[in-house]
Amino acid sequence: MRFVWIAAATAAIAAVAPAQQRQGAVKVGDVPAYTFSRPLVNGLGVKSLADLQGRPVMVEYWGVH
Amino acid sequence: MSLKMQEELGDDVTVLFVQSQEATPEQAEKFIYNKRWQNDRSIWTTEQPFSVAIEGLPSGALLGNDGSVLWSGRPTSDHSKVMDMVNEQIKLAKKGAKGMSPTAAKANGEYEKGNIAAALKMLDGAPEAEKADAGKLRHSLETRTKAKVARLDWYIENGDYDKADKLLATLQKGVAGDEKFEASAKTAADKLAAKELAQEREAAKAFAKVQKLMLDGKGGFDDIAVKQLTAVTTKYPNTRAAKRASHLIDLSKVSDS
Repeated sequence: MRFVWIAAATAAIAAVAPAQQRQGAVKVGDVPAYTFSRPLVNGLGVKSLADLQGRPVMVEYWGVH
Repeated sequence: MSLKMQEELGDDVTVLFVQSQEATPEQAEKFIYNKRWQNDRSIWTTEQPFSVAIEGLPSGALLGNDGSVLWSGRPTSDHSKVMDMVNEQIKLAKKGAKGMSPTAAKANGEYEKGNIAAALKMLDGAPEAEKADAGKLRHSLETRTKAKVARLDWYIENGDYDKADKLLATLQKGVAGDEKFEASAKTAADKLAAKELAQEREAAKAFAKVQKLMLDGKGGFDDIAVKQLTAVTTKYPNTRAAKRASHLIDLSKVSDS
């Protein structure tokens, strides 16, 4: 019974997980790679961080609350 | 800070805003409109590509021209430090990275002037001793050119025809002589020249007027904006502009929290 519950929970997590999991905390020198799973607002054709190379990219985390 | 940076530096920097609280993509997009933060260059998402391990908001990271992390922290506290780093990266992008071989440095200069085909050709003809460096830069310039083509397609798909026309003209000039990218530019040119696009262009202008009202006027989704968006969907059914107007009408109904 316990095995069935774990299997069901694993399947449920896999079903809602994004196409590519985000990375952990980055540090200076890292080259983070990420492909977005949903269209970006004003996306300009960008699908991944790699598409932005060639110029600096400011990534700012913000909130609505 | 980042919106101002985007405004000042234009396409020389990309600002990627990541909404990292528990809001849906629709709530976040509505919020951006209501705050009049939407512009034609910054990109917005609710997906966190990585974490910066800093408590509180806003926080962020600066990625260099090669995609590596140069800084992470609070943009408001480190404003001048970040601006210096951004300006240094832009300078390096235009002049070429330190230690670049002579052919790569020259090709990089041509690319920055918009002469894409000439730059790629130069790299293909690099002397044996510079081949590795030239190959690395070629890969990077190809990726950047593909991103330009993707942006052009995005403008067309989203009904932003004025920007598409401008970018196409620059791209066509720059890629003349490079068979692969000439073909990409021709595909886009054919799409933009299609007869069916006449109504799309008219609809796009009507939509742009409403969008401007939402962003420059009182802001957001007031009754007037929703009424005008509805008028776009009625007058120009089955166009990309109507689809975008419908999307904004849907957003107006989304709860704020």
